[in-house]
Amino acid sequence: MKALSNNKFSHLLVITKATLVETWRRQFFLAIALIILTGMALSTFSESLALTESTSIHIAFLATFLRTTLVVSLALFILNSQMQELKSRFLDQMFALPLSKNHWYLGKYLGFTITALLISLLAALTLLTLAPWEQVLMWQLSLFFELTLVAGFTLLCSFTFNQTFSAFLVVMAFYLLSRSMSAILLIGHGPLNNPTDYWGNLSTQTIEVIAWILPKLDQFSQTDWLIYHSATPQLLGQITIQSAVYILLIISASLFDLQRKNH
Amino acid sequence: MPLLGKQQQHRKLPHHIIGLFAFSLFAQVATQQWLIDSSQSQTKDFPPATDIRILKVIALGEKSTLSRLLMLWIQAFNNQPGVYLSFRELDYDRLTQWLDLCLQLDPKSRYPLMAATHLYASQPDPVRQKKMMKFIRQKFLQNPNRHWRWMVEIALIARHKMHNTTLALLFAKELSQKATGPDVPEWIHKLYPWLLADLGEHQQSLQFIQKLVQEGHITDKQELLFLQQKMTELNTLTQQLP
Repeated sequence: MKALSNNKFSHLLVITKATLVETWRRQFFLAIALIILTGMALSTFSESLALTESTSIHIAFLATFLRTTLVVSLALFILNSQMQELKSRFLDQMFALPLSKNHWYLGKYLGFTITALLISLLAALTLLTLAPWEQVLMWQLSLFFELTLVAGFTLLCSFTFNQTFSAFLVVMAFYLLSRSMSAILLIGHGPLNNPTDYWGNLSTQTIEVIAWILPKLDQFSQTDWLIYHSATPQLLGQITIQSAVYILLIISASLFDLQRKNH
Repeated sequence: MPLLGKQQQHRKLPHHIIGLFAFSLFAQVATQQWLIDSSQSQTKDFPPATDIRILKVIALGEKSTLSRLLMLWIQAFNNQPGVYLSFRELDYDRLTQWLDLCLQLDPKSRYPLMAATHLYASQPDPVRQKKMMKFIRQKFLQNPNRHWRWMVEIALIARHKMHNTTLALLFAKELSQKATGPDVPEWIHKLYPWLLADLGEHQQSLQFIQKLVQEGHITDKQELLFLQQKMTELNTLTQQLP
């Protein structure tokens, strides 16, 4: 029994390793290094334009640029890789082997999570000379959680939609809504909202329901942490708990969708 | 072995395709030139300030980055394609609204008030200067312990650039009355008596310094010693007055 479970675990690790090898061979890390270099050049340029607060402008531009581009790059890479496997019938061949879908999925997700960790570390290295290391470390961990959530959601969308374009649109909608939901809710509850307007109230309630099922990504990897050194271990703790709960939700939804499908 | 070599592929290209490519390249360059020329003939003023709530949504949680991005845009506004607008040509009402938005997005940022003081309030146009000073004063009154520095600067601009002593005294008096936090340096309380002394109002200046010392605003020994000397000096000057 123990040997069987060890065997299953080794299957999972093989898939993880294959995912990482694929990421390396497709030169994903090279692309990320180029993105980081572009970010560094742009932020240095913006720093040179500033009259004051030049370091904080450098940090703000670099951190925001890296955060957004890494998320989009990882989502695109995952979708591209998954769609290629689907088109080449590679998945059908995989599932014909004595390998459970659950282990295949978990192995894949672990592979992309390690990728997320590596690219978040690369991004954090560029900020080490600009902000205190404790703040950079908390920013990096938070970015890692953000990338892990996006990777999980992208993987889920790749099974659900089977098309790069629609899956990418949904991933971006999820990401942008998760980052702006707090501000949208504030508008919904603002003084201009007429309490007697039926459709207005209905839309506010719909937004509230959507907000319940989205992670609060606007609280993650904030540039303020690096500029004003405002990140605290308590804040990171909240983000960790929020991420853990959401990762569990994504995994369960993905396994549900994967088992439902007849691959 | 490829059926067609590179040289052959090039030769095989139909002439109308090459012609179309050359024409489209020419059209692209000509359009770009036309766009540059037409944009040079029209200068734009600041658009009306957006609602802060919309900006917060656009910021996607990165309010401090958006604040700085907007500041760079505001700062570069007088450099438009082919035209350099002087600060006098800018709409200061809209400018202050945008600066206010930047400050609302990141209240800890020094950039909006720094630009307001050193770029926009320093221009030799009393009407515009007063508008910008009104904005800086308004922000100071909202948070005196954070924005005292800019109030000091506009008091000095009012005194030395605008030669408006009434305004300078008003700013200096408000500074000493409102900015009383622990992080505010004590010397700013002396700006008001110095300005008074500078204007020959030795009696008032003396009274103000005495009040500062009596009310315990000055705690540093060296500073107290300096102010004692200053009071003696002012006392002598007051007695010499006819």
